[in-house]
Amino acid sequence: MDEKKEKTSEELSRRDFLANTAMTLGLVGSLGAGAVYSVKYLVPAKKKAKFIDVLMGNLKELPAGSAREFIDGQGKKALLVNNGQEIKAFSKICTHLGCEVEWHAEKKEFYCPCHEGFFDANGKNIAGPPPRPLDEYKVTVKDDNIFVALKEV
Amino acid sequence: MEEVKKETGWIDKSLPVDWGKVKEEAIGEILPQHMKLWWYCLGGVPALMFMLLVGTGMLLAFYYVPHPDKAYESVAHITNDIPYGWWLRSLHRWGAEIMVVTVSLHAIRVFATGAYRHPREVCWISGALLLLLTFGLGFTGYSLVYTQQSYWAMTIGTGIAGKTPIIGSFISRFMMGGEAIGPDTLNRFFIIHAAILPVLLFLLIIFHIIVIRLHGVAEHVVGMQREIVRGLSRGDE
Repeated sequence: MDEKKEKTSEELSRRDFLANTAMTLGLVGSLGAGAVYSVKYLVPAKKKAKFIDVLMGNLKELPAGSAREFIDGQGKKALLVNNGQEIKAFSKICTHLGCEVEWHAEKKEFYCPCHEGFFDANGKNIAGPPPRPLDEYKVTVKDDNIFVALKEV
Repeated sequence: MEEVKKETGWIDKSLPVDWGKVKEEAIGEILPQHMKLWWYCLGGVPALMFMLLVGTGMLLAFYYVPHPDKAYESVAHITNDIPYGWWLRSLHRWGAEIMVVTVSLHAIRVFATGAYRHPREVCWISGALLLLLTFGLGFTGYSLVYTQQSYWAMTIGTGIAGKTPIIGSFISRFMMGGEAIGPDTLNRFFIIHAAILPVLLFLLIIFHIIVIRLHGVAEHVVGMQREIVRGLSRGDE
């Protein structure tokens, strides 16, 4: 009986080959689809972050070079800055170890006093230990009114 | 069987199983000719459906809430909001339907061809219990959706059980978890449906299959008897 079996397994007929292939593909396909859909079913739906434009003030209140602190929707401190060319908003949290950065109007840069970190007027890390630019908020100006896009709470 | 493998890997050493023999036992059984007809193999379909139902049932239990105020809502949530929830629920629902139908057809076939007779009484009795467990699962599952139909199915089901002589009132009170259908009823039905009956069903299926394999499938009693190749069947002489 063993001999017979070995023979058939060695001399796989075309018919058997096609049948085995079809069965394997069917099985893998259906079980694979089932597994994928089951995972999709279990993964919790991500809430898409909604942003709202919040009125932060008027252009007249923010002359070139000046900055103003505000609190974003999550309660984190942030800075609204007029760098001379445009209005920008950055998180005050230093990307190095989370100290609060200051705006230096005369040099037009952000300075972190904890470890001597510097960011330029566009939030880019230019000197010191900070590994990446400051987190930025989207700012829009409509009829001289400044709006900052904040995450909906 | 004196085949000794020279090269044995970690798996063969730590898990010394003769896989060839396992394969031989699992799929190598020699069967009489009439088993080529699909209506003689209907017992396998409910077993397959049971596996499907365990899988999909586990997934449905992730979102189902067995509380009168939440049950219907959670089912609607699964069907309408959760990705592929409708798909899994449909698989569960139709799988259950197919399981009940095929297990009934299987029982009818076994009865009609006399395959239940001596020496296969144990197989028949365990099969009858499997049929009852399947109906129990169907009934409890139907009730869990908690639609109007579910509610009245529960009412009727517990009512029928309550008409059993002597122990009837006890059974119906036990099923409802009180004097009337309430929050405890749904909880009970959920535990019975999702934990107790499946485990019993699983164990009994294993037992049922072991008994079948011990006896070999029954010889055909009428009609096809002559077509069976002699010596191929392990059935009783």
